[in-house]
Amino acid sequence: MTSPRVIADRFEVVTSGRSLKSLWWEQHYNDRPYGEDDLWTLAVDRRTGARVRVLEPPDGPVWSWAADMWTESVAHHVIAAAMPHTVPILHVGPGVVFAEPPPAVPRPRLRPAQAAACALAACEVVARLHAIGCGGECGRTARGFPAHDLTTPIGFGRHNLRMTQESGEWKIAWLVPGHLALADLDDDPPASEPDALARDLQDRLAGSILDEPPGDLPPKYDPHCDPIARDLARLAGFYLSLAPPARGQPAAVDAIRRLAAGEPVVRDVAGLARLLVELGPAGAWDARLSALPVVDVLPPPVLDWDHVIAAGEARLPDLVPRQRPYVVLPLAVAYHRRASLRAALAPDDALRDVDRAVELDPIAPHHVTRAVLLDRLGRRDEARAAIAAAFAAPEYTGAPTEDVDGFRLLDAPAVVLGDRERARAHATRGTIALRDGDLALAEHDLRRAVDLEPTAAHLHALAAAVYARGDLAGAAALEARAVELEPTSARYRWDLVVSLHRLGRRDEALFHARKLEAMEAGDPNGRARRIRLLGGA
Amino acid sequence: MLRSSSLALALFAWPTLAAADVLPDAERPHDWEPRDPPTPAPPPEKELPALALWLAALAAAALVTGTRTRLQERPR
Repeated sequence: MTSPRVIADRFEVVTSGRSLKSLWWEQHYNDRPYGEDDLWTLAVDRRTGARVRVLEPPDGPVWSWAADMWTESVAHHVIAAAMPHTVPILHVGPGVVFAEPPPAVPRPRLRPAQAAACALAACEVVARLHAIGCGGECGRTARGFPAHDLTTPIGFGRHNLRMTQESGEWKIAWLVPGHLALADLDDDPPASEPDALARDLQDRLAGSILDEPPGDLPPKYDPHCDPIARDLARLAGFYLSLAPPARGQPAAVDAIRRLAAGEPVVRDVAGLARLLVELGPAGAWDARLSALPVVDVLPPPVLDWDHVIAAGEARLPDLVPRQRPYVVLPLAVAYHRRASLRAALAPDDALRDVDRAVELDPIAPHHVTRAVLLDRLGRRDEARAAIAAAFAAPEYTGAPTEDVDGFRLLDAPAVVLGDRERARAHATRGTIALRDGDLALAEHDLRRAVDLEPTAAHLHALAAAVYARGDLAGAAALEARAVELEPTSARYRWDLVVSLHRLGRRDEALFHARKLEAMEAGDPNGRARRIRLLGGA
Repeated sequence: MLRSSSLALALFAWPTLAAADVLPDAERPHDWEPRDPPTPAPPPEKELPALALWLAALAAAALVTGTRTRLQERPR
């Protein structure tokens, strides 16, 4: 007899969760129906003896590693936020251990104020998730396709967004991160509740409830939908499932109805919460409303990169070659992300990170970042080699998988470089060439960078190359464009002053020198002050 | 005999079957990529022109625009 699996020395596994695929198979071929418990890993807390439920990928497939990391990050955020509307999380990694949630009951029929209170609680959860970049249907791949392996862990169905009654009041108990496979059970006809059915029939006969044709609802899975708009429609739909629209209700209900149908009535969750507040008791929810974060564009997902990197490195040694890309590619991106965050304050640490990123996945963006960091650290020879490697790296590259008996089992996908990344590569090579005194290459690369992405930094660097080649008028024109794009940069303005002065355009030079003096007021080392001292003024 | 040959065939074909398994492609998570990767340091600052040039420039500029700008600066 094998000993039971124990998670984190605390949760003794009773049964492991199964995949929907295998449950469907059994249902069709063996006529064995399945329920919610089949989809969970069920365990017992050794400390309290209480039943707990573990959200973990069935059989631990390695291909969903990046998505699992995201799910665990969301769980960490939920613990930190300590929201009363979510099911308590007892442990994270690997998997997420939830306290036993209330049963998934059918949606109750509530008065508008009660329904608004529940929907407002849901809004509070979603607004905080949006603030960490969690929302919408799923992420996108580099090629713009929906990334089905990076699903967003929020479920709005009755098995994830659960309702429970405490001392007569209905409240929500939301499973976040959600168990998305449970959505399969959401559409099952709920256990008939005779009272509810009779009440519903009575309301319909009396004409107080409007029939909602299902065709009006937005499609359930629309990857092209804006993530925030999609969540707003789901939240509005949640309110309507609790309090169906009836005649003679305030205008806010009509706005919620249109929102559920996909109309852009409001732009963020706080906007929807304002509509809901109109339906509740006057003034009672104002403090909650003002505490809601306002997010109308979903930020990039916020993950703990130290944790992701540690988990990835721990996972790598156990993988067979054909599994490696599923961890290697996201892990390299995580290293690159952490290197970018550390670049300004800890360039040595950043360089170590990007070295590992290059080792795992030698694609051009990683080489470029490595060249930038080496250049900043003054290691010019290595920087030159790194930027050469960036231009030598093919855009279609394979992950460093081992061949097994001659079979190359899985190729990494193509690297698609956008104009911005190409511009960064050319700007890096051009800047290094400028420092080396190779002015022709510098001008060529920096001009290419400006063509691809005309930023102030690129214009300024190109101006420096042009200036060094003796074209003062060209340099001044480029510097003027850089100043126009970033008028607050003293550095760009100073270089323009010098170019104009050398061209003999002294009025213009003086105009910019005065601006510079105003910008550097109070700075004893300011560039304009040096001019003044030299001039004896 | 038939059973053992089937087993041998299955074992032989396993790597190919495994490779052909319906799995999603491994991807680099687009959302994880840095929005602002490090960019090259700007080129060295231009050196100040020679002292004599500046003196001449400022003297000429003061003659031309000095009075007018002072008026603008101190309207009170």
